Amino acid sequence: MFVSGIGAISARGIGTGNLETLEQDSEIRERSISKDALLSVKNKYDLRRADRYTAIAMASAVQACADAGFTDCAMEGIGIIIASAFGPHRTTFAFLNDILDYPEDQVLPTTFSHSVHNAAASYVASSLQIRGPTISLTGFEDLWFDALELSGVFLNSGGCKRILLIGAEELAPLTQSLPGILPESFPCRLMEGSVALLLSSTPEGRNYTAISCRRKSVCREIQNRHSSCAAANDFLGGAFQTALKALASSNQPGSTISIDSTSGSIAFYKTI
Amino acid sequence: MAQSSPVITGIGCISCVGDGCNDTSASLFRQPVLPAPSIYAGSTLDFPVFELTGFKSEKDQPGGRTLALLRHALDQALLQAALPPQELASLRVGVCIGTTIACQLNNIPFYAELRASGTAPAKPLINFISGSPAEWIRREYALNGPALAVSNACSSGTDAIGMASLWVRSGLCDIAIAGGADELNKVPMAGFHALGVCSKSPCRPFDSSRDGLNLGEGSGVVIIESAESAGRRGISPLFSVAGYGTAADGFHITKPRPDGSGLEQAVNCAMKTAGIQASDIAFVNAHGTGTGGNDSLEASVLFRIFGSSVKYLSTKRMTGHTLGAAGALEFIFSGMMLSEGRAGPSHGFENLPDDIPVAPLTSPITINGRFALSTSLAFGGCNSALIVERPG
Repeated sequence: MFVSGIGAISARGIGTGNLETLEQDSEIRERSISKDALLSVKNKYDLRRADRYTAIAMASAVQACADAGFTDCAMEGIGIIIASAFGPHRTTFAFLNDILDYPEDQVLPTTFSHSVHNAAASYVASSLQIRGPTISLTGFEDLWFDALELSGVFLNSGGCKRILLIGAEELAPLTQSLPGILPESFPCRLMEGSVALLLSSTPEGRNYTAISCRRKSVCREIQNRHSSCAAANDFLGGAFQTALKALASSNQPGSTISIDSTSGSIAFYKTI
Repeated sequence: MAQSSPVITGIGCISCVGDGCNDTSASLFRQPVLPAPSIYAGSTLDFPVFELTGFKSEKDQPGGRTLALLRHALDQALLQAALPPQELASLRVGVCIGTTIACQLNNIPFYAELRASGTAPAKPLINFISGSPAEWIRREYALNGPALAVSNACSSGTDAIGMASLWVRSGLCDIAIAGGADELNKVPMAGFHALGVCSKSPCRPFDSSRDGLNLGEGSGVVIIESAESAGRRGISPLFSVAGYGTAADGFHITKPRPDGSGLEQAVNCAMKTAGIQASDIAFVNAHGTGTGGNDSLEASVLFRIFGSSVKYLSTKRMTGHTLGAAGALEFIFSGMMLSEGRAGPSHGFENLPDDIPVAPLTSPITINGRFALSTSLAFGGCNSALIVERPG
């Protein structure tokens, strides 16, 4: 498969230009995406009712499509895969607020429907008029790699020509409190953001590079990736690293980058 | 059976239809149990649900009750597939599990403490992370393939089986453990009640008096295997995953696209994968929740694809809507019906309303065909379909 377009959003703003500095900076002070950046996305795509997590995912998604030269509504045979460890947990907790604060029969239906993991995929699909497979994935160990590999399987199956693969995480009370509750597993403050790759079965768009997935034989080889607090070592690490590799290959025609399993995940189970 | 179709060599299932393959298969053709207000889910809402009151699970365990249900079904499936757990690590095995509950940290006491004090005990968080269902199975059996939890709301179980079948078709795995699991608890009960879709009586899919769904809980697990792998191991396939299709509505977060084109695309894609035509489908196990919107749209699409002679049913009156488990359980039920050579009836249906173009099965019918279709529609506009094929 081929990387045809890349999009990203982080505390440094919308765009892929700052990804490299994120990886190099182990003492990033601002880890939240600015409200203005997300508001611009929400206004542009009529996402007033969507939550923060959806806006984060949408920001990178639309950028990846635009980067590949696709305008809205012009993408045939495309599917969406969104991978996230915690998903829209700010909204999940908002629904729990309802349950804690009000009688059980008076909670808000809109909050509940937005708390499901695939709400973001739904908004991306309707905003971009994507009608192919729409898959929302969760996990903690090697999620990005498994999602990338699945993208290749969908493309090779002929079920779709393109996959918009999105890795997204948001900061909220849960992710912000993780270093305090589980300091061994989360020795640093986490970041929020998203990376989207428009993957194609044939070269097109920006045609950054071909990409292959290399699964290591045993998942127990996961290395401890807690040595640094840099962005590349948090939830989005695998996604950021893949985007950086693809960007670095853009000046090398015919290149292929290889992504290994366990390349960017946190091995939770080793420390809990 | 198409040579390249992945085969099913083991089944595990627990729902209000039954516990285990034999119990479930026998009960599929009996009168269903009645739903009742929940005893254990911690909800004060008194609408009826299909709760597994006889299934006890330990509190404060990784993955909670959902993982306990999944493990229960998994043990059955591995046993039937003659796969000793200790041998799985030496095979190329992946895991794909659909769930809605196990992917959300909706532990209310944990959150109440976090909200009040800014910190909370680690144990619930550890249980949540380490209990992520697919990864839990991968760790437990030291598997070396992919492990993904699918959270596509009510189509999660269907998509998990479909994606795992793609893994096996593509050669990424020889064997895949796939299915879905979900428990009843206060969060979905409050949420679905808020959406106004819960019936106060046993659900009546496709009926003129239908007024909503009943929630349920359960788990369904299948062992998907390449035909070559099953042959090497000397295992006879139970049935096969002949086709999978999934398509987005791209329309609205809760409302299905009114023209039903998303579901139609998913069904057509599944039939294309299987290399069959509409006339090859012996019966359809529909999503059929008992809500007004779902049932009229789904029946209209089935009528459009299969015509007035379509044979279809819903099993929701037997299990309730088990959310992430529903698609997996209904795929299994479809395979069991094909194997038995009979299908139906669609329990809860009595009278045909104006918005349903053709009635579901009102009594059991004999099945001679080789293929059945199982459909799922979900929040977010996910439409997914699986084609089951019995051995020829």
